Amino acid sequence: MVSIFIVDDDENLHRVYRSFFTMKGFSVIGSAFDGAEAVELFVTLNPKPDILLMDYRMPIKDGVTATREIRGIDPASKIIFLSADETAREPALAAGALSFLVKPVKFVHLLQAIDTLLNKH
Amino acid sequence: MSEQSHQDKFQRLVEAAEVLIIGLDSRGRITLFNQKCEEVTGYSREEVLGKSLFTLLIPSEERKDARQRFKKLLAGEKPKFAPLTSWMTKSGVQRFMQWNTAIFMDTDGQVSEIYSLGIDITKQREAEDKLRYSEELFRVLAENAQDVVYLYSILPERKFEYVSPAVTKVTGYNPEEFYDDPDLVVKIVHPEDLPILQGALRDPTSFTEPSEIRWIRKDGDTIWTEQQSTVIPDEKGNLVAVHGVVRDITERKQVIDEMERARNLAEFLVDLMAHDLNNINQGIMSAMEILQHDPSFPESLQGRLNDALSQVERSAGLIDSVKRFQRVDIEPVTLRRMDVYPPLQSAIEAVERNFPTKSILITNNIRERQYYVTADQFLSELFFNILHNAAKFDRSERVTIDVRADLTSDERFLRVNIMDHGPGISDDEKARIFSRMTSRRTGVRGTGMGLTLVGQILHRYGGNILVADRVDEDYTQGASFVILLPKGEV
Repeated sequence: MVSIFIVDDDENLHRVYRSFFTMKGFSVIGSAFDGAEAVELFVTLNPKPDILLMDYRMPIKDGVTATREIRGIDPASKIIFLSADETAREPALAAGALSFLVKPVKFVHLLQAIDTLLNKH
Repeated sequence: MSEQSHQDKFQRLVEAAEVLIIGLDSRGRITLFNQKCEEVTGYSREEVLGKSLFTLLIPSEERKDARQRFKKLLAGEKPKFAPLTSWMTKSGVQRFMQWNTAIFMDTDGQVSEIYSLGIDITKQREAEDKLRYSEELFRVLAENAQDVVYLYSILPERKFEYVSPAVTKVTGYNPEEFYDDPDLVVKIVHPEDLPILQGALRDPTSFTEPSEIRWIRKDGDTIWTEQQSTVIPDEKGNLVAVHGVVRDITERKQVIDEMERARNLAEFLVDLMAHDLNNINQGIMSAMEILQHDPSFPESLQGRLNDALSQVERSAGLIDSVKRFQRVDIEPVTLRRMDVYPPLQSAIEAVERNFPTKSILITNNIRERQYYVTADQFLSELFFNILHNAAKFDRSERVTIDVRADLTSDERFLRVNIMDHGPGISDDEKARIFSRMTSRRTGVRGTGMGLTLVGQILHRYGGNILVADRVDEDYTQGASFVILLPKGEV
């Protein structure tokens, strides 16, 4: 079963992502509401999630910094960046995100991105 | 030497002299008139000898004064300086002379002859007049200018030679205060801008570009000034003075600052709207997609759900347009020569992707590296918006759009004609489309934002757009958008 870790400061999005992934038979093994919490939680997770969904603008620590730190901890981690801010594309990919999708994202495109990452890597 | 020999020599000397030599008797009648006098006045000696100097050569308005001076001369009064008189030539032109006079007495002590040596100073006088006029003109301009005009000498000592009265209005200090204290100009500079002025005083050549310097007025207010200076070197190249103009640009700075603040606020609001609304859109879209995939969701309501979902997509599309609009607005204009084919092709592909349920056929006669235009990265955006509108308003499932390009007859523009088979645009609507494009007023419905963006991009390029009917006189057969793009010069 594909395991997912959701990082976003929007509680509502956590709910809809979780519903969707559960419906599709994925397992949501972690949720964080800011970058700092994401890094802390990621360290404790064992096994590590197959996919991380990462927002950009979050309190305490932004998604680009969190991505860099998580990739530092586990260079094999697969992070999909989801942001409404297109200017984050370049820094996100430079920090180690493997995919960048602009919100609002259709689930079909999100699934495609997950599929590509899991098959490619 | 005989008397005759003396006379001959004197005569030759008089004739060869490059100065005017005139002899008069005690009544002012001309007794001697040398060659130079003939040359300057146009009169021959024969014409003047025995005639009165005053009536023949002195202009009528000076005649009275000249007679007065002559009388004093006869009475033995020596003039304090070489008198200046003017003569009227035979052709009526006034010339100015400066004279030295010698008086000869007879044995009875009476004046017998008067000889005057003169030089023609007309040219010098004209030059002086011109200079006086220029100085007067400069004074009038400087004294009435809103800007401060100044002349500041550096060598042999630092001091103001001239400061125009406008300095009082600009700084609150009057010109005398600047004359009395040459350092006042440094004392009133805002501390943060002092290094600029000190640098300029050390090396005045660095001060030739306009500089913006803050001054603190006598009343304590801070003002912005723009200073434009020119250095004056002496013949050895040493800088001896600086002259220039100081303009109060406080209001201009305030307007620029306000514009900057307004622009930042607009950018902030667009960013906030784009980011936060799209996050909200994400929540709505995801929730509806879950319902779409939920087997328990009633089949009868699927249509409504799809409608709602397409509205969310439209909202996201609008936000995207606003962001692109803003990008075109703030991006600096750097145009370059570019092949029109790649941006057109990328727009065609993007339009085809945007309508997955329609069959889109876009034909075009443009080949790679065939036509070059002067444009930038927004050219694809321009084509996309027109093609996208054409595809959107064509209700049929098979959409055909034809793109044809050629050069205008003067070869200054590439004409790209985008013809659709949609419902067409009535003449009333054509006028409305253009007013939206030029006024930048946009509407959220229909083509508002897209065509406004097209107008904005074409404005960057110095291009133009025309809307016509694909088939003359029948707008219902589809529209034809003719874009004129400045040709790319090699």
